[in-house]
Amino acid sequence: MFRDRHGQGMTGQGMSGQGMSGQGMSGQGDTGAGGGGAGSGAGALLDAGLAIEGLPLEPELRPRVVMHLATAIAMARLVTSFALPDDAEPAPVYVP
Amino acid sequence: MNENTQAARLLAGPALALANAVSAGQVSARAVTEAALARIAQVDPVLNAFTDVTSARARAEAAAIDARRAAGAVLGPLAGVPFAVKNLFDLRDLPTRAGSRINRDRPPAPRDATLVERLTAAGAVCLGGLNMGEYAYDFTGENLHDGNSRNPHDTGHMSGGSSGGSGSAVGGKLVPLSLGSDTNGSIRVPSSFCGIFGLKPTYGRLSRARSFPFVASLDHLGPFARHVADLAATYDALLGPDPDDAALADRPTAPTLPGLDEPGHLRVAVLGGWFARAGTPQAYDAVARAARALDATTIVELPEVERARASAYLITMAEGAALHLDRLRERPGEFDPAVRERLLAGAVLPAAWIARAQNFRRWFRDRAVELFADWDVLIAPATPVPAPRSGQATFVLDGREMLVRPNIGIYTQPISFVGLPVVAAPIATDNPLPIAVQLIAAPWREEAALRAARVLERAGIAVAPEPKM
Repeated sequence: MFRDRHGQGMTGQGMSGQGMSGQGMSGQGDTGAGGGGAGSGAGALLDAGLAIEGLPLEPELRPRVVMHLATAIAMARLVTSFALPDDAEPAPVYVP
Repeated sequence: MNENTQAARLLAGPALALANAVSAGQVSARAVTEAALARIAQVDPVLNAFTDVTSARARAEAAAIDARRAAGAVLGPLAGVPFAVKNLFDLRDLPTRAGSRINRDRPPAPRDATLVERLTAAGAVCLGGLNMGEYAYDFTGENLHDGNSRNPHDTGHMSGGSSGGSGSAVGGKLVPLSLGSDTNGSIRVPSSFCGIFGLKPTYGRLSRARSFPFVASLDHLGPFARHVADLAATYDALLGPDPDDAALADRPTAPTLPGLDEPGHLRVAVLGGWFARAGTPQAYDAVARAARALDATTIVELPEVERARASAYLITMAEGAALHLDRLRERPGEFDPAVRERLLAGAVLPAAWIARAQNFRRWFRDRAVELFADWDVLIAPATPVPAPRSGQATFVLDGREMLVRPNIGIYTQPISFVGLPVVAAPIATDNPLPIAVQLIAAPWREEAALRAARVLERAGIAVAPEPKM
């Protein structure tokens, strides 16, 4: 379990503790390399991406951005772990 | 009763009654406009719903309506009804700020947004722009630059976001009608917190032309009102083709007001699973009361709702970041940090995740459509809680402490993800802070959601409570 740098231990994406990967209140902060949770590698991904895109970020705000990215990583694990058929294509202009 | 007194009384009642009185010459549009401006001057210093009051424009529009009536013209269905719009709608001669500081440097809009033009063509009178969360990335109604819009039932509580001013202005009876936008819940959340009716139409139903975007895949525009017939009439006035919105669907449109009280049976069920967890007793009491009034005795489930919400979350982050990339690079210090930090995270998400989330959207849409083969309307809570206190950071859901900001939209986000039409209907309870339910219909069936809301309104179950001011 990862803790954010504010020490609040919450990312706040969740609504219950059952079967909601990455959705809970536990912190998912920047841990750098290693670990197996949603926060793993978030800081490295952020730093590389922002550098390539030329996007500035003050050091004091970085833990908050890492926390949001860790939440997104957990969300992405949920989304990408679902076995979609190969023909499940999006609508280019979505029509429900 | 002198005209000013009558205008103030009409302003506080249904929009359609006001329009009828203007059309019949019982009151002038000028008097109604002056009454609305006086109400705004009196109450808005408390609510902070408005960011721009377009009084000169409103007076000119009202005078034109009175002149047309004097010349014998038939007036539009919303003749003389004051309205205001979330400040991401273009209003000619104003920069479209979209809740931001940065956008104030934009040149004044040369032309109104399409939906503003449609309301004006229907005879409604535009009173101005309304407060909102920065760039619509918000569920609270709080704004770092303009101050928070406040809840008309307790000003110490949130109005809900991101269309906070739209909820506060109608909930506080400053105007009978407003417009807002909804990407993940930004019409339905303020409807719930401010205790009014809101309609998020089907994705692609109403033109978004000349409104400031947020997430192109998920952005919807729609109306707020205090009465279901007013909501339906406003929606009807907003319908129509528009080549200026590429996502606008080529679908037949039909007015909903004439069939609002049709006796035809609606097949209504309650959404369980994800939607039956984590809410407060008030949220579920509201669902139960609505279900009883609509003879909904069956609980049904949408599969994989959590993945739907996660997909919407990712698409929002990524498309929002893409929209603001240049501003994040060039004017980073002028964002609300709470918005900027999420956009920066969204800027580095791997593209494959977003493509996957879009693929999942199609899958989830198919499951929703399957469910609607058996049902016309599904009921779910609009928010898990009534309005939190302004600035409140956490709340307890399901026995666990949660962050407020991202969790207000847990029930709205999966529904807008696949573009289903929803009426948010405020349900009367003992709590002075209101709460709403979502009445969710199949794609393109706004009329079913509106009819269900009308049933609840006639039963006295759904009602916009009087503001405390």
